Amino acid sequence: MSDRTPVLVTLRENLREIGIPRLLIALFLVVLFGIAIATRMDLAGLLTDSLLRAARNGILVLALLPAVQGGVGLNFGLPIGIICGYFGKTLLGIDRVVRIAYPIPTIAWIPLVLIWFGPGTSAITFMVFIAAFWPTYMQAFEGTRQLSTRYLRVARSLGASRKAIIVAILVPGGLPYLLNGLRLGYGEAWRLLVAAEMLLATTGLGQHIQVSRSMLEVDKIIAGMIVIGLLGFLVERFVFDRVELATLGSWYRREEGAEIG
Amino acid sequence: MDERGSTGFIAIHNVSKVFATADDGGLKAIDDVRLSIAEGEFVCLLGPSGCGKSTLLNLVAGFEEPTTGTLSCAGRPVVAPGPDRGVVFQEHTLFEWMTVRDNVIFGLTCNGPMRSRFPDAGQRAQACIDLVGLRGFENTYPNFLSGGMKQRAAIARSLAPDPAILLMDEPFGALDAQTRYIMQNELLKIWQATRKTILFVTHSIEEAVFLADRIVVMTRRPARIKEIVKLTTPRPRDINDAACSAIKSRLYASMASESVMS
Repeated sequence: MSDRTPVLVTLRENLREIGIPRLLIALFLVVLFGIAIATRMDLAGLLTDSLLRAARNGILVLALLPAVQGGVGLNFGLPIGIICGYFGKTLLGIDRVVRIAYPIPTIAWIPLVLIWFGPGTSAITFMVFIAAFWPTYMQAFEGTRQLSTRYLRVARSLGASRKAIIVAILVPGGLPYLLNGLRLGYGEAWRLLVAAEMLLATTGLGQHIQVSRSMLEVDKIIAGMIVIGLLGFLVERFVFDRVELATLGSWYRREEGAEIG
Repeated sequence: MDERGSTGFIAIHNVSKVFATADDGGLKAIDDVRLSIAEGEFVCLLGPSGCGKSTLLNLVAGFEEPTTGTLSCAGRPVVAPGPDRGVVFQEHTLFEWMTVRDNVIFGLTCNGPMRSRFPDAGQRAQACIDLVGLRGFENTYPNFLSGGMKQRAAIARSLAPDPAILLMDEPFGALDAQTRYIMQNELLKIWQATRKTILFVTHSIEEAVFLADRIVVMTRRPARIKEIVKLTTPRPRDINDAACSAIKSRLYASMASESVMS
């Protein structure tokens, strides 16, 4: 009796550490495998083969390239959003243009992009840029405006230079919004990328899926989708979560009762 | 002393402030205020909530421009916010992404003239942190501090560039009674140690009686100066002794007649 309790406690602690959602996902996978085996499907062919073939074809590398292209949109959206938020809505009418163009679905740009660039990398880059730009801009704009009343008065009363205000106040102070904008922008870009690749590209994951469809290679289609999901997830998990933990994680307390004094 | 004139360390000369409103009528927040504050003086602006006393403080800080009239601090007209006037607000406005030390240092490193004035910003910041009793919390982020400690840090930050004037907008309004009492005592100590000129906005009669050299009673909107009460009781004061009680009763009567009109 006495030596069983610690085991149970450790088990429960481990459970809490792993988390119920993760367990459910793992269980779901196990069940899927079970069904696959039970119905005598070729597990190896379904998973390793498709994934390996996809990797061997350099699809992974090709998929990462447009992810870098997506960064262009983020890189524009962030500073323009911050500047417009700081200097007010009237600045050059940029904000008005953005808000009018925002409701246009990114996919609706495809005909124009096809005429301008023709199918290929430039077209994809432009599409991804547009997709990533809106949410990043919106969040950067909002985050900066939220700050303007609270902290800018203090900074101005301390005589802060414009550079100090931007570097030390606007960027770190707006970081919760900016990070959110980057996440949303990245997510939008990633989703759009695959769609755009299907229609405009000669390479890339989306194109790979499209080609597989014409060959009726369902396993390749599914493998492509899994790779898309995994890549997106990995960037979320290992880029954005890390950045957030390293910054906001130390600025804000996560649990109550940690108050000092 | 010229109590209502245009000379003085802080000189508020016939200042009015009208805010634009949707119905074009305009909202008159301050009406023809004349006030002169001597160097090193501790003045409380006392008035009912929303009467415009914070607006007056914002005008002195340079956050807003008067509709008519002029303001000057240390002989220079007020045109914009500046490091010669430190500001402490009610809600904590500490930069949450900086430690206490970085918050205090910010004012010393955020522009060129200040950097050359305080070449050793770290030492200056430490002196201010020590002054407000936050030694040991230099590397703490604001969200891990209690309400009172946040305001201590905010005071340290406003003191760091060594302003001649400290403008305080209900700095202890959000604190519990006991912490507020401790902070009022601390502020008096800091004031006596640094001899800053302090303009302190409050709606608490007790707080004003405990702290001020002079209490400027404001009417409800538009804010005018109703009366100016001079306090000569030596500090530390017992706000329940005979002299203070008499002033309190007078202020209560004065404030009550302002509330009735609302």
